[in-house]
Amino acid sequence: MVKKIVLFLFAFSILCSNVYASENTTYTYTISVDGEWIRTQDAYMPGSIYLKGKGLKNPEDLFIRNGLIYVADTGGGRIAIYNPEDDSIRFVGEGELNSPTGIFVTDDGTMYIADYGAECVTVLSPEGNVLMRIGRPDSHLFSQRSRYKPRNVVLTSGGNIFVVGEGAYEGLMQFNSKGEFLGYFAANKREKTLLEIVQDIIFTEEQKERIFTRIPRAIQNIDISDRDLIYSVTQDAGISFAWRAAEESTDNNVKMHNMAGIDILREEGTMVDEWNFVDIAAGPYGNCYALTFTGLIYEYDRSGNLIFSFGGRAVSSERTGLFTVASAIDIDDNGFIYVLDKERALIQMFYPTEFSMRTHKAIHYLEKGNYRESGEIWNELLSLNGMSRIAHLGYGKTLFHQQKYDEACKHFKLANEKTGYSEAFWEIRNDWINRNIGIILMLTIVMYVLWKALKYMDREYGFFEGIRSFCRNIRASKSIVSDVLYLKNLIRHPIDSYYYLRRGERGSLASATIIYIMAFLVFVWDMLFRGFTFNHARAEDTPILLVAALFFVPCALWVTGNYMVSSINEGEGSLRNVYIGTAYALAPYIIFVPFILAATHVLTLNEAFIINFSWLFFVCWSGVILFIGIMEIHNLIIREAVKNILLTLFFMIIAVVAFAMLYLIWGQVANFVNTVLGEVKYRVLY
Amino acid sequence: MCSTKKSAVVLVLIAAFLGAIMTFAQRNENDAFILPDTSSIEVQSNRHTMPEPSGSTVKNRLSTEGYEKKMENERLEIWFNEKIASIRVKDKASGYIWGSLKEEKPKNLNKTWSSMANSLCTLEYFNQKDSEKRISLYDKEVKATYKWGKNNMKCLVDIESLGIKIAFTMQLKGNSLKFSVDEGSFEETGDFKLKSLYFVPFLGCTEADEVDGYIFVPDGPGALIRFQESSQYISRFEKKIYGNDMGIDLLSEANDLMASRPNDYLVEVPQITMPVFGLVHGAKQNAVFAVVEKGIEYATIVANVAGMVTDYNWVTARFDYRQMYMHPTTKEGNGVYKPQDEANRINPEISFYFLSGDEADYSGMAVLYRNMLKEKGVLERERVDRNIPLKIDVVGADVKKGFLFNTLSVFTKTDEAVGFVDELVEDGINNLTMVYQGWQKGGLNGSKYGDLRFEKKVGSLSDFEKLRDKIKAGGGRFYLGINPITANKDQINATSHSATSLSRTLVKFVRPNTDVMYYENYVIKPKLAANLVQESYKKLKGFDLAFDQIGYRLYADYTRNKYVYREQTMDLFKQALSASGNEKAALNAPNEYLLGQTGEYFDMPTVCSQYLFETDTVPFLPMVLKGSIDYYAPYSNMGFYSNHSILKMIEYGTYPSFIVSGSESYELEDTPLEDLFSINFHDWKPIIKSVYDKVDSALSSVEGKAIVEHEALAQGVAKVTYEGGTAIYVNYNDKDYVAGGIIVPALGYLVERG
Repeated sequence: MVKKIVLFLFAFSILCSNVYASENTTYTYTISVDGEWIRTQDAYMPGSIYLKGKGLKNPEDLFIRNGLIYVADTGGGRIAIYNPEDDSIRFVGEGELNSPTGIFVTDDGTMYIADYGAECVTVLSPEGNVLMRIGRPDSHLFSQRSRYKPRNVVLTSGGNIFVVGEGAYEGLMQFNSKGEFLGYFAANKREKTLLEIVQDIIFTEEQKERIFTRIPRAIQNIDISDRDLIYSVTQDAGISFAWRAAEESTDNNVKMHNMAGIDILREEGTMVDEWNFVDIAAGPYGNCYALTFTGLIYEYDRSGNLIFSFGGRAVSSERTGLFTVASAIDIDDNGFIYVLDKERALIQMFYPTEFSMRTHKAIHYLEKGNYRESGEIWNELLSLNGMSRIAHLGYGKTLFHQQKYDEACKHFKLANEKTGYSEAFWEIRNDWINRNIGIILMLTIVMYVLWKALKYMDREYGFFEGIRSFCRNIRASKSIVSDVLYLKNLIRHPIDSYYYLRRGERGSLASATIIYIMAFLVFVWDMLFRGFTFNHARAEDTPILLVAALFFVPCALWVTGNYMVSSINEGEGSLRNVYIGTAYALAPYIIFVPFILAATHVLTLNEAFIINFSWLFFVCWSGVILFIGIMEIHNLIIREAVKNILLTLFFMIIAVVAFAMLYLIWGQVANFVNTVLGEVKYRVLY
Repeated sequence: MCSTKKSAVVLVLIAAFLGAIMTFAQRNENDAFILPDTSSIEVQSNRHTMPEPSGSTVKNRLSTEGYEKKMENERLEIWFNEKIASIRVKDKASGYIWGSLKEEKPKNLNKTWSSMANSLCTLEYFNQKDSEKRISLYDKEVKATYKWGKNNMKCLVDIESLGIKIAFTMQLKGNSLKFSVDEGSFEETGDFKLKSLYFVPFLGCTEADEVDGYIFVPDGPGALIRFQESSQYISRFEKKIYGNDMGIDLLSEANDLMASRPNDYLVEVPQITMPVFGLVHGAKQNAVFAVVEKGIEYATIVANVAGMVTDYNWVTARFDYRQMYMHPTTKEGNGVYKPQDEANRINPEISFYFLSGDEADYSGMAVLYRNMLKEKGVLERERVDRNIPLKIDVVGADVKKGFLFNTLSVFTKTDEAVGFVDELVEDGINNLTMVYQGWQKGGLNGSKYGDLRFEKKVGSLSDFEKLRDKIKAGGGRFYLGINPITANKDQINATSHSATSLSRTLVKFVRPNTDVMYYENYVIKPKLAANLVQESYKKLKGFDLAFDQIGYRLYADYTRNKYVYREQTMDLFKQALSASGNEKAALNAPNEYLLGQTGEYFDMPTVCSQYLFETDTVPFLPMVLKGSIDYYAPYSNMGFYSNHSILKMIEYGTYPSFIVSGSESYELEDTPLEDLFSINFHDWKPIIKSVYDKVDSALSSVEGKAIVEHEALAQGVAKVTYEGGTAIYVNYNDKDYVAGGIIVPALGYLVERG
């Protein structure tokens, strides 16, 4: 998935080479096959600019109905009805509204207005007469402590009114057509962060009550589709401390709610979204558009896959298609996008290019089950952008449904789509087994017979005596090879083996080093080269140094930590003992895990349990052996060994923390000295 | 029993069949995928030329009252008011009077602004505290002495309080008025530092939309800023001629999307490649066309729109003697802003041409300027082909991010490229311009800077020669692509190759996107870049060369004790490129000073910067070049293949260009070419053919001809008239254009032979 980087510094953009010319002012991005952002053909072009010089003040919302643009002129306390055909404008609601921040218009022109300042929802007739006001509900369902600050409002075709309130973490407020409060809808979930879990353990009840405001984030804005599906966006705080960020990364910021208010857009945490979405608009093809206040527009398909991202921010110059502070987005019947710039009181319109219309068509056909035509368009799109993830995904799906599994596999793999790949692979494997079942059975029987025959021959004539004695010799000799091969004894007789290891009769520094290297190779295989369905990371994207650090740093910390802890406490083992002992504890990992890793290449997600369970089993086995090893090496009883291990782990954490702090301080000091020197140089030289 | 079962099955089958038909029927209804009309919106954008408002003649708003006639020739009269140091220019042909303000001090301007607006000359300087101040001839502290001759006026400006002295001459010649600072007259004796100088900055200024007219700036292909009602903007139009100087200008702009998406979202704005600008009061009525003649490297075109500080529209060239730069005090790049110590070596000179009648619009200016360049001998007549050329860039090889080491990815071998040529010839495309990129050992972004050996995995010398000969035999041209200006950290030793800025940092472009393989690219020292150009001519004898970036990059290098100034870089590059002998190099969007060295012009900008105040894009640059230098559009792969883009190519007389390779597009992943997202030749072949055929059928009839006039007949309908009377009509609308006995089909064009 896309890396989430939270920036809290100003990044710099460059006016650089103009080779990749486009008539647009911003590049269109999509997600590439490797999950990173990549440029693609222009999806939308900036078109007309409206409301220039019409005297609106900080407008916060717009709504398009029947060719008219309705704008909530927040600063002006009124609604502007703008006709782009003849550039005419009409104002309603002056005197009736305080600071309207959201507007919804029905087909007959009735306006539902969320008035933030007046703390009510006002319903205006097309002429601007007040039809109804919905003030703070006095229902027992509405808590006394709750805030009632309506920011936006939508209406279902059944006449139910949904209101977004500022800070209304309980969810959307739902009213019936008479304005009676019905309850809350679609509250965001709240998960505990690592920090909070720690706080839960340490803090007393009193403290908890005083400092905890553990409320979920309130919904920021909503829109409703023609099929009465409510879309919502939520902003998160954009906190960048990794161990608190858990709070932000688990929940998707764009949601599509079913009747029960449950998000049915996308599985949690798998969405390409932003923390600063301010508005959302449902599109005509089951798609939706989310807008950040920095003027970025993200288009998603019905399953929450990102299709395009475009637009941007006007910082030092104003070009069409850029926004100073974007506040609202809406779509007209043609699929044109209108974005309101609050600061400049302008509306900029974007129209879809041929490229994006084709993409929409392909998505549309795919969802309708028209796989052949959809496939043709996807294939065309792939020739226009061969690295677009959504295109490979779409094409893969159409191929899968047309039972072209091999090709589907290829595209799913390129798109890094494991579920789809696994399903297609299952079909291929199934097919292969069906075709070759005879040969497989034959081969098994032949092998079995051959094995029996050889065994018989051996028993009768000592067929393999030579090889056997050679192996015996190696095992008996105290060479490195025999020391390394001693690994397998750890599987059957860990306690005895550790006895010999400790006495130095078996194992050496050299053999232990070789074992670490072997374990590292298995680790690399495990991390980077599992079968596609089970792979963690792509080898190309992962620096080998990082993988090495992930393996060797914990090993080194463990060995030194354990030695130091043991020499202070009652441990008996030397550094050499710990080093060798730890290495041999990796036996199950080195011996068995490669089989699992090999199996990942032929198993599918259906059998994921086997892989995960057996992998965990062997890793735990290694842990158990290590535990036994600690007991043996330091001559400890179980209770002491547990204490020893916990202390070692504690040491490891402290070491990492200490290093991080030193690193930070060193950076600060170096920076300080540099600044002083620079200043001195500047004063002296100039 | 059995039969009931059977009939049940049959019933179910029938029901299923009917259901299927019904769903199909329904699906077809749902599937109706209506494409909206987008062209009517596109043609209203500032990417197109708007039709002129019909109607009124512009009347004189100014008079010569209070002014004294000082000079006169057959075309112009120069009137002067010494008190406010202001001139009026009367065009005898039309009687139109040019000047700046109607009165000494209008109500809507303060004193400083009105004295600047009236004065012949305005200076800006830095005081002891390095803050910017402005002073004009009108100001009391300024002692100006005027010496009037028959055709010229010499003015000595002495500002005692600042210790600044400067002398300039105003010369009348034909329909032009030339201002120039006298060589060696500039003196600075005090603590004050001269920042910049303007000549008649408000000449032809207008208040809001009082006049139908526009400012013309050479932004991209050319842009118009029509006079509009006052409106607020964040910034004005301000661009250095020949682009930013990377040696001193900050190369970055704070642009934070505050999102997970990388911040490299902005399409770069085109730079100014020609030192001209203009003002039109009523199209085809009155216009001033200004040409910066000297001091171009340090001149900036500044256009102000009503609502931006003042209520006036004005445009001028600012000559910079000094500018602010970031003087670093910390390693992180923090520092203080201060003015340059040393003044730029500059002798400003600017001519204003007063135009009337048919000449007086952007199209007339382009024709006028083309003739000037022809007189200077910069432009010659181009090669005339039977069919238009097609440019194909071929990517040979590049580096690919690897597991342990970067590897070489070969995208197109020479024999594959030979195959491309065959296939294109089969499609009837003979006139090829092929540029081979990434032919060097190590690939496009992996070759060592200055290494001119061929990458064997792509092809050997003889393979390349074979390819070249094949293309040439078919009447085409073959170039090897070389980038002498930028290189990444693996190609050079940054400290010894990279230019240094005045802020004491290595000059580099940083793309705010760390996902990109090489997001930092260093700018090479001008001397090394010029050496590489000369070296390549020597070592690659027999091959034509296409140099990337050298055409439009112009920068100073402040490496300690080895300063190379901007104007010196200009000479270095010019000389190096002249070393080619007969065959001129192909350059990307070259600045004007290199047009004489340009064999072919790549990457013709097709759209202006699209600032909110810009109202039109006009083909000024194409009009200057058409008939003299072959110019090509940007790669059509990146979206420039739609009907609109093809029509734009036809309108602008631009030839199509594509970038292709022999491998699948997804193989570009993890290489520095990821941005090119789609370059597989076979994917693109049908599009190449259709784009080429469309553009060729329109433009082959005007090969070698210059454009004499360009005008917008209606919203989205342009008429381009060529020498000899052939006219091409282009219609961007999705409705036919019918008027004056012609029909231009919707989203089509019409060639009317003269």
